[in-house]
Amino acid sequence: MLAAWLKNHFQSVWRCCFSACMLPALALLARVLSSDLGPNPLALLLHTTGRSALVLLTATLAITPLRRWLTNLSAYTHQRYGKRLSDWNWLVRLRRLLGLSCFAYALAHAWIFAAFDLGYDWSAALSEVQEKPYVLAGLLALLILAPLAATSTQSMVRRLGRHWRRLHRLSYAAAVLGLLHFWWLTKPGLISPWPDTAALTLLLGYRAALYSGLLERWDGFDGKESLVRPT
Amino acid sequence: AGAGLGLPAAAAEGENPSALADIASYNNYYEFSTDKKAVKVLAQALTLKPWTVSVEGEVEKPYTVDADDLARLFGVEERIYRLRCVEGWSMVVPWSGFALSKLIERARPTSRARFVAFESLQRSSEMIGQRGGSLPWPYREGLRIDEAMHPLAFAVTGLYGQSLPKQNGAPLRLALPWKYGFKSPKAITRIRLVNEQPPTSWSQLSPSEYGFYGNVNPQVAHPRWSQARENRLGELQKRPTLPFNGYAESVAALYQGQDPKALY
Repeated sequence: MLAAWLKNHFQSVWRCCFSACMLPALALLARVLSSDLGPNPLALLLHTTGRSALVLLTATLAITPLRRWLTNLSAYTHQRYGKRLSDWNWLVRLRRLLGLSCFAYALAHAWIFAAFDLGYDWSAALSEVQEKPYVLAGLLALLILAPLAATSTQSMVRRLGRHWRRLHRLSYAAAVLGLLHFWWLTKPGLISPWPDTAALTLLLGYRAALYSGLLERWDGFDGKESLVRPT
Repeated sequence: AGAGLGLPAAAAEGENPSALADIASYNNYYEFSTDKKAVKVLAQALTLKPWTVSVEGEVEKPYTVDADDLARLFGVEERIYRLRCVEGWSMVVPWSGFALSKLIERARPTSRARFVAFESLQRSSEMIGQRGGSLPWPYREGLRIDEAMHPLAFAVTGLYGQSLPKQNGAPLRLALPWKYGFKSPKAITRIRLVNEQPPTSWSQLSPSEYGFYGNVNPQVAHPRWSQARENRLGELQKRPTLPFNGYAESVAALYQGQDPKALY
């Protein structure tokens, strides 16, 4: 069973995941070093970092639902391994990596904007934040992500206890703000934010349904317990 | 060259033209794709011959001209113009072509001709971007007649001394350097002199974001992003955007008595 194999090779899985997270940055670095940033270097830098941050935030938010869906899938397909939620615990151990990578890209994105778009002209920055919703949305998303990144260590998780989960639910707001930021920057007629919108709608919609109790009617589907109880 | 116009701000003198590779590979041309880099490849499917351009409507002598005859009828000159896209990037382009006024004057507009409507090619068999509904097709643009007759308004048939690449709007496009790039239609097939302000594709799609005039104005932000600065192709650091894209001296008189802030 794949899940068992992945669990037993967690080190490799983590390294693969880490490499995947670094890939956009490495690709950009290669292009910077070979002076091959194309006709519009600033747009390329901003778009690559911004899109990477949003994709990684989506991946971070996918961990919890994925764990539950995979558990159900294993149960429905009568797998020997993987039908218990705990069988997928190793997925959670990837979440910090994804979340921190997201924050790193968001930070790089904001720095590139401040340095090359604004030229560190803070009065211009102020008027942009006041006038333009996309700058405000992006800034708010970054301000939300910062404390989440700061409290991502094991000791902070322990120290905050149940408050940690509540605090980190702010990532939902960051995702919505990030998505709005993307839409506000996109010219009408373009479809580039649709995949992100569809994925986040699914992930956040699932949680909304879960919290509102909508899924409780389906036994086991709410993820609170696996379909087949361990005997 | 532009300096021969006697207009001080006519040319982007002293500014380095953008690289041909950039100008010919970073194209907003929704007839083919909304992806700027894909346009260069997809546009090669376009058949340029035969190609005729008609000038009609409120005119005494409507006519149709073959694209191959444009240079013979109207001559060829080079002008180095800045081009500012509404998205916030810009470049400096050595266009070749002739004054748009020559093309219009030949048809002898009547006194009823107050606007000029431009229509681009509609041919979804070759222009695959037209199969989706990204914009109302064919692409339509328009100018007030005094704008169209202004010496800066340029009908373009070439780039860097060569014939115009397909991705840049061959065989005939406009260059209106004081307006955002979307005001300069590509692959023009029909020019109509009309009495009423004609509908234009971008303002049909999103009237709140794209007006009829599209004059470059750093003071008036696009509803969703700032127009104060621009990305010159090939440069990393943004630079400030100038009113009328730096051509205010030449064109501001066209808009006397009008609030420049309302002319986006």
